[in-house]
Parts: sequence; structure tokens; C-alpha cells
Amino acid sequence: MNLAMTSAEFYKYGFMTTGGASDTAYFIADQAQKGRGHLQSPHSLGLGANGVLEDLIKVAEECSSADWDGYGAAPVTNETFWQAYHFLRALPFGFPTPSAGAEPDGHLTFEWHRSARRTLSVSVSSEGDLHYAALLGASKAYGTEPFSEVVPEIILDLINRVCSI
Amino acid sequence: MLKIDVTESFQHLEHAPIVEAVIEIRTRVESPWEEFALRDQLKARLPDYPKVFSQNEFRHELKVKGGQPPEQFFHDLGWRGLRLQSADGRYIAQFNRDGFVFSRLHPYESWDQFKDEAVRLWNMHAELAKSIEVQRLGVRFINRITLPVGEVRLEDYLRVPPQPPGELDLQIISFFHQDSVSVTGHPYAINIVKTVQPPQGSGSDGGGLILDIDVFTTKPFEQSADAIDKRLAEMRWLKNKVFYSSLTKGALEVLK
Repeated sequence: MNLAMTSAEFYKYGFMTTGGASDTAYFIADQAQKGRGHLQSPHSLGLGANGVLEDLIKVAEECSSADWDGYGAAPVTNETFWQAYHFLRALPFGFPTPSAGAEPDGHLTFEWHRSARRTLSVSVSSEGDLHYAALLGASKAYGTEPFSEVVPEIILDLINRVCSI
Repeated sequence: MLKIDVTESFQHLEHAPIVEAVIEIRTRVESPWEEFALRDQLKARLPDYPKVFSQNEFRHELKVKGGQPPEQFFHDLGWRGLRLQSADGRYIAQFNRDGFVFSRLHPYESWDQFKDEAVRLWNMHAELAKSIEVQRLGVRFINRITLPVGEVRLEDYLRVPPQPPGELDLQIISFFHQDSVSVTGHPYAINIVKTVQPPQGSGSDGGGLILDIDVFTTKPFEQSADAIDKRLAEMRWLKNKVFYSSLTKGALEVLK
């Protein structure tokens, strides 16, 4: 049996499932969550390696009041935090993790930075819009994609291109 | 490319083990989504769904750090939408700001009945939300086959049962198996979960073998009755194919 793991197909659907309301649906969700938590616990596969989760929580707390930068910045809301948190959790196991920051419009940002000419920034809004901008040598890529529990394929592709050797 | 034949008919199972059938349509609400206005609208339009509950969105997460006890996050994200239930509690419709979820609980009747009711209510959601694009469409069927009390041979039920590592005298006492597959030539993927659920109270329940089939597409499309109908028919065919090819002939015989 072949595993099509090298294909981008593998990543683009993520781990999101169709909802459900029965006890059995909750049982399955609970079991899947436990399995995922177990897989995310080691540093090799999880988000703990560079402390991005801790950074995200810290940034969101520090920027939760209006004017957090002294220049009239909008606050980072709970909604924005949870959108960003779930974006981070939706990254495939073992993917390069970003650094976290905030922007004056109240969005949270993730940055994959390899050099001044190879960098990707993804800004997450409270509505779940992902605004991305990448520099890849002489080329640029930018746009907006909706986030609905699955990291859009184009962003996964950009992370790969920025971080590949 | 896989050939999807939506005209294919499938063997009818009198004792189909479906505990829940779900159609979920994810979209983005483009109009104000306010609890009291929505409640009034839906109560007036859906008298056959007399039970109305407000739904908040909660996030519960477990953060695990090496060498430390797990830390729990529990957060209320605020009002998300309304959950309506038919008088007998068998139909559940969730009108949420990020989409619509329609469930039919046991006993399942028929695809046409289920799908038509889902589409009827979805049209209301689409009208109230003024949504224009479907971002994700899912058809999920959760099956639970009651297992006898005592020793169970999983190979009697599953065509591909879990196996303990070879050449050791080990016995499977529990398993959770998830496959995600893409459908060649079509914008669909399928999550298939097989697991066992502990006995549910009654003395004759030796636990449940769960076969959860979730066919979905995350390729956005403009919402129209035709577009949704076409996809639902294809996704139903895929769901049936996975179901019938996952169970043994013996297991299907018992469900007839």
C-alpha cells in the first residue's frame, strides 16, 4: 500500500470533521482529541519546540487593551486570539513553527523568517481572515484566504518554500 | 479518475446501524447575526422545531508540556447561533454564524427524507445569512454496531480489522483508527474512523463498533441548489461505497 504523503493533498484537508450532535459523535471527537494531544506532546511533532504557543498567549495578553503601543493600536480580542491559536494548532505535525506578534489593527501575526529575502508573514483577524505576504528572493506573494480550521494550501506551500533549504 | 455513479443503488439494510447522519454547510454570514432577531425568525418559520437553545462557542484545549501535568484551557467565545430540535428530538438543526449543521439521530429513515429536510432548512439559513459561497460541505454518517457481550472477533465485522504487532501473543483491547483519503479526480476527501465504544448501560450491550464516515469538500463553490444537490449526491455515493466495502458480508447480513 502506498501513502501519498509527499503530495500536497495530504495537508490541505487538515483534521477538521463534519459536526455532529449525538453522544457517539462527542465520543469520537473526544477520542480524536486525546490522540492528537498525545501526538503533539513531544517537541519533535508539537508546538513546544520554539515556545510559539507561550509567545502567542503572552502577546495576546500584553496587547489586549486599546493603545497598547502608545500610538492608538486596536486591542487584540479574544476572538482574534482563538482564531490565531487554532490556526497554529491546525499546522500539520512537524511543520516549521513561526514566531508570534501583534499588529496595530489588533490582528495577530505569525512570521516564518529565514532571511531578509525569504520571509512569510500571516496576519489573523478576528473573523478568521488570513492575510499573507511572502518574499521569496525576487518574487512576492500576497493575498487573503479564509481560515476554517484548515490551513489553506497556498499558505502551507509558502511555508515550505520559505523554510526549505 | 474515480467514476462516481450516483444512479447506483445499494442494498437496503432494515437494521442500518446509523446513530447519526449529518450534513454540514460551512459558509460566512454576510448579514447581522443577532440572537433575538434570529430566534423570532426561526420560531415563526419552523413550528415543527419547537425546542430552541442558544449555543455558545466553547474552546477546550489541553496543553501538554514535557514533565509537567497537562494544563487545561476552557474559554467561552460567546454566542454562536441557535440549535433547534424537532418535537421528538430526532432532528437537530444548528443555525450558526459560521454555517449550518443538520443531524438526524437514530432511527434513520431515508436519504431523500434526510437530505430534503436539510436542504429546506439550509435555504432558510442561506436567506437569513445572505451567504454567497459554501466554504466546506460535509456528509457524515456515524454507524454503531452493537457488539455481543464476551469475546468479539473483529474480523467478523471489519474487512480490515486492527492487528496486534506480529508474532507476539497480544490481544487488542481498544483501538482508534483514522484514515483520511482523497478521491482521485474529484474535490472530495473522506475521513474514516473505526473505533470501539464501551458498553452503554444495558446488559446485552457488549460495546459498540463505530464506523464513522465523513465525506467532505473544502473547495469553495458558489452556493446554488443545483451545486449543492450535485455534490450531496456524489458524496452520498462515496459514503455508501466506503460503508459497504468496510464491513464483512457476515456483518452486512446481520444488518439486513
